[in-house]
Amino acid sequence: MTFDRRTVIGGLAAGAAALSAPMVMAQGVPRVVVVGGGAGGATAARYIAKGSQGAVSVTLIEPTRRYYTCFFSNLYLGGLREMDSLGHDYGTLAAEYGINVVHDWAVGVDRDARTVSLASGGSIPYDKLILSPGIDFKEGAVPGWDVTAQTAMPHAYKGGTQAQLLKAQVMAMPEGGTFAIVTPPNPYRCPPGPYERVSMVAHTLSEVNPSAKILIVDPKEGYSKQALFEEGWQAHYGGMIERIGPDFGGTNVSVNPAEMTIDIDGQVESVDVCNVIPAQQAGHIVHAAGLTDGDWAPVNADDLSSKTDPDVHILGDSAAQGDMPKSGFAANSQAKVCANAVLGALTDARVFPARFSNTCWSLIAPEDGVKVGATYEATEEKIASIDSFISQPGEDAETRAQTYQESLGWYAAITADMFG
Amino acid sequence: MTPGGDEIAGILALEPDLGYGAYLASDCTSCHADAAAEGIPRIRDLPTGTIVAALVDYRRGARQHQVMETIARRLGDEEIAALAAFLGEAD
Repeated sequence: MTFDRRTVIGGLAAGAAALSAPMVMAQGVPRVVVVGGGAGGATAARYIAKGSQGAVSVTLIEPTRRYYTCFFSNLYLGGLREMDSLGHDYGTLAAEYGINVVHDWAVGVDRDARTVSLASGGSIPYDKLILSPGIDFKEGAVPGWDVTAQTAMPHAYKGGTQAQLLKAQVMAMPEGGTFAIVTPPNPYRCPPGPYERVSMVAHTLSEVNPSAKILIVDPKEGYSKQALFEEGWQAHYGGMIERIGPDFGGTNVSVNPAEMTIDIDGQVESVDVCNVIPAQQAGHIVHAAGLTDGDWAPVNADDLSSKTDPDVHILGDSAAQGDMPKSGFAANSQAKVCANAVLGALTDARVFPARFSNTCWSLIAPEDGVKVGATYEATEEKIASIDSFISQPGEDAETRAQTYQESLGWYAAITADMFG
Repeated sequence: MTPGGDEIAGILALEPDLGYGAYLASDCTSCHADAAAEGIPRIRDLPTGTIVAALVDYRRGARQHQVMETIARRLGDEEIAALAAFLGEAD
């Protein structure tokens, strides 16, 4: 951390806070525990540690020592990014921000005792708990697919290992083979993600296996940025991509990983690669903590606190918050509002009105980037969209190239915002 | 006075709230890195007047960029003054 006039100002405020903090326990400083070191959790931990200047103890529980972002993993599939460039570690958060980084799984929450239990045994006490575990898949969502099938039919929807497996399978496809993708029903992580993936796989195949086909099996009537993707696919990959929507059986799909077949409404197709992205729900720990209503955890819009327990906040994909998409950008945005509220509750830091924003960039082909985004505010009912934008069909190549360049700048910035 | 000039002068005359500026600036750092990056410019330590002028121009549509126009449209004068004071260097 460099000390400039801003951190000095923050330090003075935090020093005053430490003297008068309303929730300081007799035995020491208030404790925040964050579960999940992705766009929501890492950002929240960093902003609370940075803002409190030692007046709050921050523990971050994250099983992986090196975190591979799910966002931009499609660019890896397209051959435009090395996997190494998507990996980040937690050394700076520990060394420069004083965060206690615990590489373990959080397996349970005792909300009466206010403790989080760890897979390795033991537990960690908290005054405020922040859960940001991302998504888990719904069992039985695609009949025939479960976690034991993910080698034959990867989901590749949590970054890292599975993306590497899927890329290897694409590269090993027979000439003229078929890549199938089973996309999830709403709501799910990264609404344009499956379609950006199709674009990037199409780009790779157009270079190494141009007679190959891509089959999208989709339970949804429509999807994010659809007009932009369809225009781009026609222009860049004409004829390679076919989509089967709900009208033709996209909602009635099962798979057979041993035979490498998909049954689409009774029609059995043999495929060479099958990327199954099942229906999704809040990460397991949120269910274990008893904070979900159905698949997701309802939260208050002004501070992302659980509607069940005001001392637990839920960020990002797992939260049912209203209008924001389940994206890394959204989780990062929510984390800052949550950090401000948590600092306000634990110290005498000022609390400002919640404000959120999101932009999702997608790459259709190299240098052909598009984006969609919005600004949001907190209402009594939900996080509500107040203004929005989207790229337009027919934009010139220079605009699209600029949009792609922007996405590179965003990746560098958000990962610095998360990991320091 | 250039178009937007009155608005800019009015904002520069406000007493900025640095604490509010720090909070608002956390919305910027999702995209604007402190280190030099491709595609999105660094905005730290620009002259305060430059930041105010840019945000006013995006807000009234005189300068075009989908993301920045959308961000700027919800900034009031107080917010722009706070952001510019926190992010910028005094002229």
